[in-house]
Amino acid sequence: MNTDRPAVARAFQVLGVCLIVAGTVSVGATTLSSEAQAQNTFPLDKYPGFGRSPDAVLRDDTIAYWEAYGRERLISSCMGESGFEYVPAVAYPEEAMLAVAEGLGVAVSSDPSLESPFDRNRTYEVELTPEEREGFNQALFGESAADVAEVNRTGLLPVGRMDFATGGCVGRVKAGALSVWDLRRELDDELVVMQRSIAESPELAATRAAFRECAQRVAGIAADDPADVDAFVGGGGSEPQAATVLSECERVWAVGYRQSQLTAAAGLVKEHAVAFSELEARYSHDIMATVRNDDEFLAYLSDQVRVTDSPAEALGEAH
Amino acid sequence: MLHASSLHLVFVAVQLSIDSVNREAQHGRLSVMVGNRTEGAMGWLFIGLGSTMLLLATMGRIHPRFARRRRVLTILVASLSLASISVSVVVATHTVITSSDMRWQPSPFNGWKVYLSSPRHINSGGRGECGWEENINGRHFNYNATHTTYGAGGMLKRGYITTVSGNARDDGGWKNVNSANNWGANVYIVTHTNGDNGCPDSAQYLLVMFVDGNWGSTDLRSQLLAKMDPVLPGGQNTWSCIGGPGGQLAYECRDANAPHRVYVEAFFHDNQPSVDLFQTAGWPENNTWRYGWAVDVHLGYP
Repeated sequence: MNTDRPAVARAFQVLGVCLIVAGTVSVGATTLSSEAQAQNTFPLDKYPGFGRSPDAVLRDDTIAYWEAYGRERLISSCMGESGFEYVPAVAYPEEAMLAVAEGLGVAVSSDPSLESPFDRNRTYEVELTPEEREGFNQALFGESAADVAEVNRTGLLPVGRMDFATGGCVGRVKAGALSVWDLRRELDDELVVMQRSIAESPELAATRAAFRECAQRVAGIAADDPADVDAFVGGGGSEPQAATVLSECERVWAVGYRQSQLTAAAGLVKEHAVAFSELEARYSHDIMATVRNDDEFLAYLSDQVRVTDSPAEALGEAH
Repeated sequence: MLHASSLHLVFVAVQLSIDSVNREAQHGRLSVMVGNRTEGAMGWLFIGLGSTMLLLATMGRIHPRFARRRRVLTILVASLSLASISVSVVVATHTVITSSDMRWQPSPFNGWKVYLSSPRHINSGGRGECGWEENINGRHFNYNATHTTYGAGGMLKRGYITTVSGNARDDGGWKNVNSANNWGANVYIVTHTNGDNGCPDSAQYLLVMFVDGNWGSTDLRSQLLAKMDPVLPGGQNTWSCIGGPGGQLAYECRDANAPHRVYVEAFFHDNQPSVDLFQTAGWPENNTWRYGWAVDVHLGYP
């Protein structure tokens, strides 16, 4: 028994140390988690089209993809009125589309015979008679089949034809379409001015000083900000030295910059209060519920997930 | 002992290269150049070659007929295997022909979305290229401009959500425009390679075209010229892509609605020295970071 007592005591000591370490790690993790969360939210996040946090980006992609599908649906219906088949075909980056599908809980279509809607439209057009193909292009773009093919081949519009392919079903639908990105694009100039003014703002003076001190200390480089590091590498400076500065000092910059950016973003919303209110009003209904209840859209999305998930395509062997 | 170590080394190298190839395949980047064409499955050929040689080396250990020359055979096979494996790993990082747009989302995201549009010429490979075909050049350039970690890095390291467009041989440039517009791209950069009279030719300059009267385009043009010209052969040129020489109207300039859009012809693909430079191992990684630099300076380092 005597020999066991120190062993038990030691076991409790070890357990105690483990608990303290676990507690410390847990508190640290919670702090880091809160910090990460704070870093991942942004004042403009709540406005559709301005999302920066992962959730807000996904929301914007979902709305944008749904709106794009809506436009394609209108083109399809318009083409149908002219007596032609055209299936909605939404062009969208694949991973973003897959994220939208996953976010909406869309299951992969089980139809193995599916093909891409772009291929379906192409096949349909190719199989038309020359006269029908002419009618198809006139209905879709308001242009001749020969001109459309030539523009596709060269990437150039016919000289003097700035209005080329702005008619037909595509032109009509695009002209009247609203998009979740409209306000973001409208305010683009001001967003750039905002960014540039942040970089030059006196509020960043302390951050610059801290970055300069850090860059000098870790790599002996005279750099006030990341732009100076770019210029250093671009001017033939040592890439490893620059990498050291960026890995060691980036956080110093990010924290100071973020604070200035938050202030500037709040100022932008205040300055364009009416426009942001209108944006909110446009999407004030539960837009995500509307999307989730659009069965036709969900079926389309399900098909796209199926078509995208092609090993041959992933290997680049489809062409 | 020597042959045993060599065999072990070969085995590990094969494993590593197979892993690497698998990883590349999953990301849609597995391919190899044959002439000026890109064929996805060819990377596997090199792995197959290496593996066959490894099998022969093993036979040398177990079959009495091979026993006498075992050591020489093993060393020879090991060297050849390693050489073929090295080739397979190099080609595995090359760019594919694909109709798919691929998007990457960094964390944190800086609030600006960049769409890098690759060529989709239906006759790519038959446009007078000295080396890789034009559709590959463009996508390879864009892929590296997105992922490079050199210096302050490419688009992703700088916080831009970035899409690199497909480069299928389908004359589908309009699909790129529609994809970028639907997705809400803020920056749209077309990157092609130029051609003059077909390989070999002497023309060489960097061309960046812009949209007249659009500050987002003209300033981005200036930044790209300033940052890219020092590392690309020849001089530089710039003109409007909406009413440029001969009244040229590029639809990607007219129809992409990203406020910051330009059209780049990076180098001449029918100029052998330019092609050799671009195809030099490490050149794309070590130089395309300048795209991110240009965009950052243009937008004020968001």
